[in-house]
Amino acid sequence: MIDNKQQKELKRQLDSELSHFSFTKQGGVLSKTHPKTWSEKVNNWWNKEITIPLLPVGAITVLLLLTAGMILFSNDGGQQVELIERGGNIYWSDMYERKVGANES
Amino acid sequence: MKERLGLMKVNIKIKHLIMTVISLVVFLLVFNIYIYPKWENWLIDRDVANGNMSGAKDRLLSNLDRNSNSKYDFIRDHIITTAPEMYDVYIGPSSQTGSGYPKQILTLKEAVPYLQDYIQEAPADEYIVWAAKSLVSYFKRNGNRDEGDQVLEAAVNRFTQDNSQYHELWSLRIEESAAWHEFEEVEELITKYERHMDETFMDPVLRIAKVKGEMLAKQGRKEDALNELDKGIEYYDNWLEEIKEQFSETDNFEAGESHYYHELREYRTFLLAQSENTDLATVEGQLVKSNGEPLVNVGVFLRNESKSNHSFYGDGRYETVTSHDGSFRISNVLPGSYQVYLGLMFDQVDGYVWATDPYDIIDIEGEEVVEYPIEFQPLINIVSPSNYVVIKDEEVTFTWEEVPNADYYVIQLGVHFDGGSIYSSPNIVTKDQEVSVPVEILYDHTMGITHKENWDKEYLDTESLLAFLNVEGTFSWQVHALDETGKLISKSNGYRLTEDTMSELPFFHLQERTMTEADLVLQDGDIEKAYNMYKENIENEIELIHSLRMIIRLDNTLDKESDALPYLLMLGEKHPTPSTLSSLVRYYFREGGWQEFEKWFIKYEEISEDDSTYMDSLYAVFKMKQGELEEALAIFKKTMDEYSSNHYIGYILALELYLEEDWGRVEELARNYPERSFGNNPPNWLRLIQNISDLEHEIVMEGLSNYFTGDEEKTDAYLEEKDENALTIFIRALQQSR
Repeated sequence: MIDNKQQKELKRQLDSELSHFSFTKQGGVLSKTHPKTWSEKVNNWWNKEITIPLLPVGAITVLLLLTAGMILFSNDGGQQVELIERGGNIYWSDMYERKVGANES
Repeated sequence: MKERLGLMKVNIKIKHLIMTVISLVVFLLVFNIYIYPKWENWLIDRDVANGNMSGAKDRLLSNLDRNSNSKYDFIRDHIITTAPEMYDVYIGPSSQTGSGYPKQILTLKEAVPYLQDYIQEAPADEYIVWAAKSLVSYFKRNGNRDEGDQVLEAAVNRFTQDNSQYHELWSLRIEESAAWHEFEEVEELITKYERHMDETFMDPVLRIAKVKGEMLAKQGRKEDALNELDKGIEYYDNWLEEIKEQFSETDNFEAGESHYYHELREYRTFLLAQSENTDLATVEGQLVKSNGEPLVNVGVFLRNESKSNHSFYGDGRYETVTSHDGSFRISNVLPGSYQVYLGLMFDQVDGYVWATDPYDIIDIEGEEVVEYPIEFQPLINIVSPSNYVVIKDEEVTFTWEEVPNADYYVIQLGVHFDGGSIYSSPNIVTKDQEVSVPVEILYDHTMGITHKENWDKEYLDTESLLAFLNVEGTFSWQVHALDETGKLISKSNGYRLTEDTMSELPFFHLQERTMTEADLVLQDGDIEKAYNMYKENIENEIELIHSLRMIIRLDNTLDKESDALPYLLMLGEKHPTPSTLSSLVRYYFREGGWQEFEKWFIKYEEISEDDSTYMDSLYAVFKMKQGELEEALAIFKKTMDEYSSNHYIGYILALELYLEEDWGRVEELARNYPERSFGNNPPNWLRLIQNISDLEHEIVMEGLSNYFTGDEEKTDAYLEEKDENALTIFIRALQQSR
């Protein structure tokens, strides 16, 4: 056990050793650990670190991307329907291809 | 693993999370303004591609009604760029608009308010010119030319005179106005524009010179017209000279001549060729469907015959629009040879055909009124074979729906392969609604040979060589209906653009035979190896007929026709079909082996069931060369009405003249049966006859007598002795006829 006297001695010694340093951020530390004002609270919340589990978030993202991709590429878009000549007749390319498809199956 | 994945977490500060969300929101905003329209655009394209035109239309209209910044992009991409400049299709006796035309989402009528909006409000770009052209054509078709003029005026005002569009639109306005206004009014417009003309833009100078020239010519002021044309040409020549001088020192500059410059020069040549004080003609008629329904607002164009082998997009000097009862009238037509072309919308031509001869030409000589009625007939619907059916029988039976008033029908066949088709008409003729053709006849039938390019190297298309022998081939057929005079009434091929008019697809496969080993080698492209295999087969009498057929085709393709002769003779003996025999007849006709010609011709006549005008004509030429002139003339006269090109008219005139000496009759024949040939300049027999009629008749008769002996040296000596230019030209033209 360190008695009171010894404690005082140690304190004196520590003070003299730390006399070259000074700690000025007590306020900052206090406001962070024990926020009192509104802005302190907001700032605290603003810098709060949260943990996001990668698996569920990643899964949802991939799912969303896949759905978008499926919608996008489910049909061969962008191809223009135009007049085509087949066997001496002139058809619209879409109608012709549908009719050919219907006859093939 | 599962656990480790479950443990994978990221630590993130709330401020970073919020910033991420904010950037997402900003992104969404940008998306809505810039990306969403593109996305919608893409969806519209997709709907169109999937044939969902009503879906595309709803989507387009909702985007147009959103009134967002991108509205004009939608108008540009889905209305302006796909709208026709004038008509959906152009058809004439010798050609029609073919493939490549995009399907439209809105009809032009529906598009009118959007196009007008675009012209007034959209950023000033070249699409305003496009939009204006579409609108002008729309109003013109509906007889509302004033509104068309207002459109052009509004469009001009969107630009300043530094823009090429400004001058393009002014030129257009003046050209349009010239088509329906008096000369004075057009001149007023020209004066107004000329104040703003700019040397940087030369095309308007040429276009306006042409408008002036045409208007003056139509008034009969030919000298003034030529003056205007010359002024335009001279102005352009000087300008081009200057440009060339400016640039030649610095760059390797080559100035291309304007298309309008060529048109101007061409028109000048045309005008110069007209005799003084020419009387002008009128062409008029009525355009109806066979059920009597008039075709309204159809563009009717007169097109110079010499241009008939070029595609046509309404660039005519003479044009009009049919009125409410389908009637039309084009006046002030200068003498010349013309073909009538029509500009139609899809619904007017869908399922119908204008059955006319490719050589349907109007010859105008002076003041006259030419009646030219046009009747559209429904397309013939084919029944079978259709829809890519596979035929394994020994004959193919073609059936179709009956055509009232048809006297007989002719079948045409097509061979289709990657990147090409060849059509040809074997001699398949019938009076019934169906005809059975043995596959052997199809196998005998040769099509033209095509080549394909791959890595800049040309390959023989073996599919065209095999034709109907190719078991993997795709073939098509068409049927033409003709009346008792041989005039085309209707046909099965034409525009089939709706479910109702599409009918059955006229395609079939032929798998009666199996490919031989040599065929497979040929199909792989090893022509030399296949050639040797066929040759070996012939020597060993394996697959003899087939190998003979193939080796003849290969020899002909490789320009070794003389090598093919022994095989052709062998095939003629072993397999005397009309096709084989006619090949022999044609061979000896070309080579002039008359004895052999006659021998094979007689054999051909024995087995051929149908008359072939072509073969008869060859026989007539043969008779003529043999000095049997009267018989030759009789055959020629029998076939002359079936040849719309009047290919043998020169011979007929010479024979008629020599045998009958009836100059009036000969001149009449020459007038009524002018020789036609697109692209080549056939002799003007009427003029040749008129020129020799001025000579002493004995000189002409003796010249012809020399010609008919077939002794060319004697004929040449006679022509030299008499030294009559007209006679020399006439005899030379006969000698060059084939």
